[in-house]
Amino acid sequence: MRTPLLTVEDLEVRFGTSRGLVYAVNGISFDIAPGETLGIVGESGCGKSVTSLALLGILARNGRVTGGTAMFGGRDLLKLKDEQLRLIRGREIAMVFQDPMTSLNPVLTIGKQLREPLQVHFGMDKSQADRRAVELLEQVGIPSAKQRLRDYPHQFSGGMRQRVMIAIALACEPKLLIADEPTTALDVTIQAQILELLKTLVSERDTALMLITHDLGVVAGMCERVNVMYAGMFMETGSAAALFSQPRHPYTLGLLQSVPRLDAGRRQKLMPIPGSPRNMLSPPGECPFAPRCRYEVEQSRQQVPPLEEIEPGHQVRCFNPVPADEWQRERLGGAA
Amino acid sequence: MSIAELESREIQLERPQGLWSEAWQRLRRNRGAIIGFGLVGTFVLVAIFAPLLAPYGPREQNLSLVREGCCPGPSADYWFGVDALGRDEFSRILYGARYSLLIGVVSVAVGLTFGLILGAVAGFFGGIIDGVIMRLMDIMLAIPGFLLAIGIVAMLGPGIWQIMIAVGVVNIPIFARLLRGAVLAQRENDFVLAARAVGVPRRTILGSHILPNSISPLIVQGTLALATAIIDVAGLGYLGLGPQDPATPEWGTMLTDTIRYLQTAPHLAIIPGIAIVLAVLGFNLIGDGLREALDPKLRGRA
Amino acid sequence: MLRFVVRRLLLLLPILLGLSILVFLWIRALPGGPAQALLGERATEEAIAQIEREYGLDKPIYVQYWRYLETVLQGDLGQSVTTRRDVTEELRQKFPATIELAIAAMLFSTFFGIPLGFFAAKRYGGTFDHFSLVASLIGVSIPVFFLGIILKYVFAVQLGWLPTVGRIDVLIELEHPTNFYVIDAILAGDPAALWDVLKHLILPAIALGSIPLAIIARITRAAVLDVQNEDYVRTARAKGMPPAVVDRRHVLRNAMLPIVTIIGLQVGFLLAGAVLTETVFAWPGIGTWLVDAIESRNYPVLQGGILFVALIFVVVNLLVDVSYAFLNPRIRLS
Repeated sequence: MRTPLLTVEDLEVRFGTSRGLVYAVNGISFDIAPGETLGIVGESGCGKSVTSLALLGILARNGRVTGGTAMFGGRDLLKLKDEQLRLIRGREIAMVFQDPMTSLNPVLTIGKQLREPLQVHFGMDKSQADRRAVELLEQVGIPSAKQRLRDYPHQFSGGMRQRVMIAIALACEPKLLIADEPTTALDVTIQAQILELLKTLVSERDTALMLITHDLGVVAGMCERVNVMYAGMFMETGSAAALFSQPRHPYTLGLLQSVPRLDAGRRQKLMPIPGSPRNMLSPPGECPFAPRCRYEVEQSRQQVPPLEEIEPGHQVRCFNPVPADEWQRERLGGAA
Repeated sequence: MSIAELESREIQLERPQGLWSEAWQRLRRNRGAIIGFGLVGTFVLVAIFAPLLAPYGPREQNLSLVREGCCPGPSADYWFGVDALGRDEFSRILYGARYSLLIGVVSVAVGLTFGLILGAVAGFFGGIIDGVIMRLMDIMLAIPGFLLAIGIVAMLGPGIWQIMIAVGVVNIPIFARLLRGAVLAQRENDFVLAARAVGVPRRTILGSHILPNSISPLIVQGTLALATAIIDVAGLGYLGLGPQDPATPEWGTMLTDTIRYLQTAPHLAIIPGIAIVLAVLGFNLIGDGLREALDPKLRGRA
Repeated sequence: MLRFVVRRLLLLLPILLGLSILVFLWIRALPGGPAQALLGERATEEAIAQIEREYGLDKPIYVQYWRYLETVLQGDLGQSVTTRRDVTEELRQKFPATIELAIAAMLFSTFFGIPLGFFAAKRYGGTFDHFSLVASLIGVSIPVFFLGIILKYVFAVQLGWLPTVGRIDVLIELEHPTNFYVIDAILAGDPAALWDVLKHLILPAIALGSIPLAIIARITRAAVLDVQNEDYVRTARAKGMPPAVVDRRHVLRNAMLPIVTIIGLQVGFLLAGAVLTETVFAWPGIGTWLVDAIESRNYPVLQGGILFVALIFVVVNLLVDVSYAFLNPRIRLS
């Protein structure tokens, strides 16, 4: 186990809105080592994107980090001033965002947008930066790279644009790459290509990858460790292998169950998770998943369960965890 | 536990309300809009109750006051001073509200009605009809509004009704464009397609489905058009194109020729101008408030 | 891009044509009939008869229109009823004054309006932002002529800092090759004259430009607020770009698109507002020319003025569309 690159502890983020305070992230802790791929899985609104934005200090205007630490390179990212954070952004920690159409500036050429981080962080001049830009574009698989530098974002297809975004993110050889729903806005066939690309690139460079997504399939193929997030907290963390074969948290179980299976019988019912996501306008005072949970017990309604290790490397936040073989039984036996 | 029971235990964020009551809530919290309503409310009340509030008649002359030249400023007897013919400014301002209000409302009504019809027809029927109508609107918009109004008044001759028509006509292309845009946007909406699939006649679709949804931008634009109408009318009055009887207490006309007296009687120029500004400001505040209340997306996000 | 420009130019033609038809019909609808309108009330019988023959007023209407179009395109807009001079000639003499004023007002409004709006957006919700919103609202509620009167009263009459009327002090001698006094003063190498000309420009320019300033400031604020929330701005920040660069290259560059459109629209306002502003400051431009024409029922002048203004407005709109297309690569490259 290598020394972690980034260690986050008890991160809390809140937003001020006209309807009151939104408790978006309520005490999460995780770390990520060089070269490791960590997946953060959860539904929309669970706070996973907010986490990464908070680390880089680019939250929306009304967002505030209200607690926790994030140690990176011996410094707490959450306490750094913007001027100091700026030197880390793009250079040591880079991000790839969800929608490549809107994440690229429509009035600037791709070349310009690639050169920007190189010029700012490495002080390269235009020709040096251009050469490096061509290299990067080739590495992400864009043909005729040299000519393409002068093109604008709207002249690329969705998949191509995401490749460009990845190229931009990797331009300064960051230690950590955060990919926030990198394939959600893309066609299914392209998704696989982009994920493959990401996998190759980070392993070549020994870059740590934090993959944020709601798609279990993406996580299964890419990540060594997985954290399942709900209502601003981690519900279950562990290796991908453990979580996918023996999920212990009812939410994780629910997520796995809700994926329709191609090999299911025609009469097999779909199993959605009942109810809707928790209202985040109040701090959690009970298990946030309790209202939707089949396994809830009385204690679930009285306090927030702590995150506890249920076996080495596998933690669960639950007063009544699912039996270890439950998922296997269901999967092999058919409907629950 | 059944899904139905689980669903019923959901925590609701808040009870959703209709579009209008939500908008009303937002409007009520908007300080600017409240001030606007206050100003416009005062304006309307003054217009209605002018005869009761004014100490003198608007055309009542007392030439002895200006025998020594123009013009006495504000005093205890004459709160806003006296004009070149010995008339009480205060009373004239009060009566002037009637003219501004009347002319403003009528012109906007004219523009709205014709603009609405043209725009709805163009948007709904499309094709050549749309093309012709819109070309015509473009040509009208090719001349800056105020100049177009001057042109129309030149054609019709000066006078109150003439400026009402002129300013009204200037408003037509604006409303036509607005409504056409709204109709076009709605036309492809699913609920319209659904109505057609069931066989609802086009006329009814237009009246019962499309128009009600296009109302919000209309309300906003209507209020703002009122503000502009009052300014334009004052401008035409200032140029001498308004009521031809110089005794008429129209605010714009009251400003004509006051430049000569800036040195000796500045109140003659300042007071009617401030009245205009306050009335227009009131409508602008309301219009802005309405715009924000009916579509909060327009505001910069927090 | 070329195709875009050509297409816009072609679209221009029907509008100009429609305009000419509109004005043509307008002349015929004037009180007293077109002949008298063109000649004035004191026209003699023979003059009227001659006009009727010339314009073919006894011929069918489309023939009349064709003749009309021909004369207008040849540059003949008739004679001023009051001065008996060619309308085109008077127009040529007077329009520099108005254009100079309009340009000064436009410079004033953009030079102060855009930064105002930008800083208000940056300090969203703060005191400066609220103040700027209030100021803009009041700004658009003041009629141009009233603002002119107030400015004149405060700065010229009361404080005496600036001149009250005209474009230049009567005592100053200056040649007018271009009739744009600022340029003339520069060409003559006369700094005292230049300063005097500028002093005369200040108040009218502020009066005329204040309302566009308020509008431009509001639009800039709204555009900047919108753009700031866009994903690509977030990307730029995530790349570690300094805030100044993000503002300049990412925020402003994209915000300029709607701002430029609005600036174009303001030209129409400026032209119309010039009419009112010029009367307050006795500015010898098209505005006073038209106002006098209204009073003296000088219809040829009115026609000339309206056609000229409409032409400028249309051309400026075309320029704005073209520059918008230029700024937006999606259109530029198609």
